[in-house]
Amino acid sequence: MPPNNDLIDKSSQIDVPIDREKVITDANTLPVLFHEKKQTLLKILIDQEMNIIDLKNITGLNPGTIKRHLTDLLEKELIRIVRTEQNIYGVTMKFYRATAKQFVVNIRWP
Amino acid sequence: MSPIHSVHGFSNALDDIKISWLLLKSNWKAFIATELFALFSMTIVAFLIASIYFAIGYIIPLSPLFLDSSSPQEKRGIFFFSFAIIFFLSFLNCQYGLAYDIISSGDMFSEFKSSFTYFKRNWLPYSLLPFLLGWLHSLFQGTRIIWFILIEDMTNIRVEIEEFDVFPSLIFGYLFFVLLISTLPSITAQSGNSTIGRIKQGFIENFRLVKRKPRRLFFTWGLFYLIFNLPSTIISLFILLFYDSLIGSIWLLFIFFVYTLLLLIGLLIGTPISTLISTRIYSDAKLKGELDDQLKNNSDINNNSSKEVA
Repeated sequence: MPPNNDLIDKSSQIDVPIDREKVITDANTLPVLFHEKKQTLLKILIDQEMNIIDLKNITGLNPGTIKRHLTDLLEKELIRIVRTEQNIYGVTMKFYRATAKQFVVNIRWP
Repeated sequence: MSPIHSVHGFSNALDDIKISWLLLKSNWKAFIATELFALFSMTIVAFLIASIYFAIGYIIPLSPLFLDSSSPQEKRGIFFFSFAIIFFLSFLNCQYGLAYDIISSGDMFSEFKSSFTYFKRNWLPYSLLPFLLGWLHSLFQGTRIIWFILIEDMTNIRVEIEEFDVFPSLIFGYLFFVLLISTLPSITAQSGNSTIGRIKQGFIENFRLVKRKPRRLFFTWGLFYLIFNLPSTIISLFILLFYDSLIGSIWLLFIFFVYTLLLLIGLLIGTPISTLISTRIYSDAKLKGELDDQLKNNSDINNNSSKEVA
């Protein structure tokens, strides 16, 4: 089992506020937003911040797979890295969070 | 387990090893795959080199380069096969990249295919350092042998170098290892610099770490050597001392089996754990700012003070 993240001092976690709503106007974001596994991760990150190991424990997905999905979500600014910290084992952890609680698609075509 | 302390002792050294073992257990596939690939690729490269070597020898049978009886065959063989060893060491040390991914990158996991990325970036320093360590060790061995010869000349007492060599070899191997091992995690962690720049910065940070955290380094690696190197050293000494009386005995086979098992444990478990330990120590010092240029910091403070006075 990986180092127990529950041993982090929870009181040091910051509840980073996120936007209520984000409007998406770039059509290239849609495949990312509507990808099944990315949506699963995004829903979790709307509720709370998490690192890759926490996401792995919840979803059962391989960490490499999670990282690739998170990279795509980061690129489209659907999530961001809210903080980086070291746990008591000296392992650096990146925490991710969605950039908004809801995403609204507003695309005109043509 | 105790958190990371600034004052380091035996219990903290034990924590370093225990935590690295936990991290290895979570990511063993990537490390073992890297090591097996390193062995496999060394075998392939050695086979290719041997094929070319002998093919050229047959095609040009009178070539003085290959069939000159005054040129030692062994030295030529070692020269050519060192390319296979360079490849092996480079890929083996890609485990520092995996350790970086786990400990420092924020991802907390590693994948085997990351080894290829780190090999492409750092194959030169990853192969250079083991050769440097081996060269330093051989220099010392040469000095030691001269010392033994002098003792023989002065005292007329015959000194069996091999038996006396074993423990000094272990101790000085340990010292050189501790003095240089933090170079590789530093080189791995850097980005953007040229290879020479990364190597230079790696050595600078390595010696700063040795200067500022000697207790942690010597305690942790001392314990590591006790666990992973001392047993095989004792067995090799035992073999040297009692070889003649063990010839033909089933015990010799058993002892060689145990020795081989210990070497395999050292390679498959000890080597990945060592990369995790050194990366963890480096990462901890780096995050606390203990590897920063102290003189630069002091000069900034002095400049600010003089501005305030003005």
